[in-house]
Amino acid sequence: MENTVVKIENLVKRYGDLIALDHLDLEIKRGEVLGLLGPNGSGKTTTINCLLSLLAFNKGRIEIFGKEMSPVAYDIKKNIGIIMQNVAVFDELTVYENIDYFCGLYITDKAKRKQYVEEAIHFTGLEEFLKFYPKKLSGGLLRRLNIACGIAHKPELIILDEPTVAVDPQSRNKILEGIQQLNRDGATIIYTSHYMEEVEQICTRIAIMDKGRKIAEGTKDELKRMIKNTETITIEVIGLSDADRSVVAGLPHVYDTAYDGSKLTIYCSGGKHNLIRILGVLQERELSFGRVYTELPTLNDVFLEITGKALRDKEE
Amino acid sequence: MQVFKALLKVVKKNMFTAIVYTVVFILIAVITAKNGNQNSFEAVKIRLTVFDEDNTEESSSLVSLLDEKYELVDIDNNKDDIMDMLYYESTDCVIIIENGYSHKLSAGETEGLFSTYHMHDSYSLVIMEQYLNDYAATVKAYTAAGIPVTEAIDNAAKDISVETNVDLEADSDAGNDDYFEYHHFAPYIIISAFLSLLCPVLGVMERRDIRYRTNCSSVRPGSFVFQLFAGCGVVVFVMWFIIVGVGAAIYGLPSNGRQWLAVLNSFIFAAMATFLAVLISSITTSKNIITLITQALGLGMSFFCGIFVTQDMLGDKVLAVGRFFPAYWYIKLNDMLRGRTIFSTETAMLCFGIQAAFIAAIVMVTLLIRRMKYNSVKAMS
Ligand SMILES: Nc1ncnc2c1ncn2[C@@H]1O[C@H](COP(=O)(O)OP(=O)(O)O)[C@@H](O)[C@H]1O
Ligand SMILES: [Mg+2]
Repeated sequence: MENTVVKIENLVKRYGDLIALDHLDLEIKRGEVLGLLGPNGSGKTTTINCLLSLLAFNKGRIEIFGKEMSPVAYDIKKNIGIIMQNVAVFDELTVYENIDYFCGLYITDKAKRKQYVEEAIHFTGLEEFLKFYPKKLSGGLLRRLNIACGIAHKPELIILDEPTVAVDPQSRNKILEGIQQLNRDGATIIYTSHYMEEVEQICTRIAIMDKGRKIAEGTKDELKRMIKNTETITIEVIGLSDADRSVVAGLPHVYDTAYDGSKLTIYCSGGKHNLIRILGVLQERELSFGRVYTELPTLNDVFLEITGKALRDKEE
Repeated sequence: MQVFKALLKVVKKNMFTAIVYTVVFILIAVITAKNGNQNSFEAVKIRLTVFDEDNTEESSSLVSLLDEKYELVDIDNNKDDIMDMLYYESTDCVIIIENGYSHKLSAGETEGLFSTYHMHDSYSLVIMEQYLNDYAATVKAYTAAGIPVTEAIDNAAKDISVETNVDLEADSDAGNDDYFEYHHFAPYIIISAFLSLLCPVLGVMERRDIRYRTNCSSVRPGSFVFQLFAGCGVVVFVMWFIIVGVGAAIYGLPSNGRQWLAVLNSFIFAAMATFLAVLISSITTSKNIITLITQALGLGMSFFCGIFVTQDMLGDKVLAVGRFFPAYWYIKLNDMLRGRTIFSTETAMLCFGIQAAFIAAIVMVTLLIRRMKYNSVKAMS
């Protein structure tokens, strides 16, 4: 069996003057959970829509299951499950009817469909809500319904576009576990998000996008090794002088510092014992300090280093 | 048949709206049919006042001819009295046979023979004026052929009354006029009720994210449209059946060929409305735009095609516009069936044919638009 499930080559998509996708290359292997990570507006949804032939693109080539994708490639389409960024269900149909409708677009055999729909209901834990109309569901349940509609027909390739936006942490965890379960059951998964924690948690490989370009790709460890930051240390300290700060900045492995009057942030690369050395300096200079935190690098640091900006807005 | 079934479920959710629309529009039709009818019965009861200012043998023979056909009302020949009588509807129309009538008639002129005054326009008055003009034209035709005026007048009187008999026969053939008057309003009900119900339902089916999801599946676009048509077709058939059924309940079952043709006519029009709904929903799913289109079409057709005002009262320019709407052909046929115009099989076929052509055109444009919209997504490298 073909090992490459999706192959995107040199994809360019323009909206007027805006280049939404800028020569994007992407390959997804069978059994992977590929994370497409990028801030809002980086082109994740556009990539997905092009992939599904919902959007015409300006340049490039897309192959799925080894065949060229097109609007009429029904044999490809029937093996794809799609969970859109926006919840796409009928407000006029109940939970059960919705899942049955979307499953029925793929599975015409009645008995088989009934079984599949029930499995999807069980999988997403919607048993108690079958007769509910979507308007009556909470955000988390609605997202689960959205997922059930996309996966009921047991597709080989499942694409989820930000399926956890506006979902409470409990539902979010359930969703993430579910996705991993689908992957264990054999599905290849493309997962887009602007939450790095999610992507770190479930994805076997991650492609980071910004402004329509893929800026980095690899497993999360590979990505983190790509950057010089290995540790970020934050110390609550008051009355730090510029002289004190420059001594800290001059320590080995410290490549940058920041001070906002109450918190000193120190960015380190490589090496051990960074924290001990820094605290030693503070003690020596008779500066009293409060709490101390140290963080290992995150994908946000990766993004920050490559693009010079944070992955997502502070309030999220 | 997932799409078909889902569509019917969405309709079920909109059932209340559907019922309200149907009931309201049927009520409108029944009420207006009742009022409209009083006008059409005036044809028999029309009252005339004739002033013979020419006072010759020719003019008095016209007066006696009118006396046979209409009820004549005597009034003093002074302006105030005439205005009062017209105002209080003691007479429907005042005809003055102008001085010099007999001269002009023998000279073969047809202009300036009479003046007519009336307060209200009505179908029967138009018929009456037409009658006078026909009479003068017939006399002219005979005199032009060298026949003396007195004889020409006699002949014309006979010819005209023969035509009147034909008219009456046509009317009696049609049977109960209420039945046709009710169907006269069907296009308005059908367009307004069907579009108001179907367009929002189709709008749900066409909602962008749901469409995206559907387009990602292995359902063929052709099958999708077909199921939309089929679903709408079922809904429309039920509503049409109710409309025709209510008509039958009030005015009796169709009892002759013409009434059955009227039923067929409304069926074809209903089919047209179904396809139109799918077309509109293929263009836009915006509720506001759809409401706008529905109202524009409903009112536009009603005005230009002779639903609110009968076709024979409309100007040529209006009717010229009306021809571009299916409702024009619907009304033309209905008018003919009820005996307002002389029945001819060819015209009936023409009216059916043109409505069918509208349907074909609508279906083609729909498929084309959908093709452009959903099926042409290709890399443009
Ligand atoms: N229909 C559209 N017309 C014009 N610009 C668009 C359209 N859809 C998306 N864009 C632009 O393309 C860029 C990528 O958007 P999108 O793929 O939705 O990003 P993401 O899913 O990563 O948040 C954004 O700058 C967005 O404003
Ligand atoms: Mg997006």
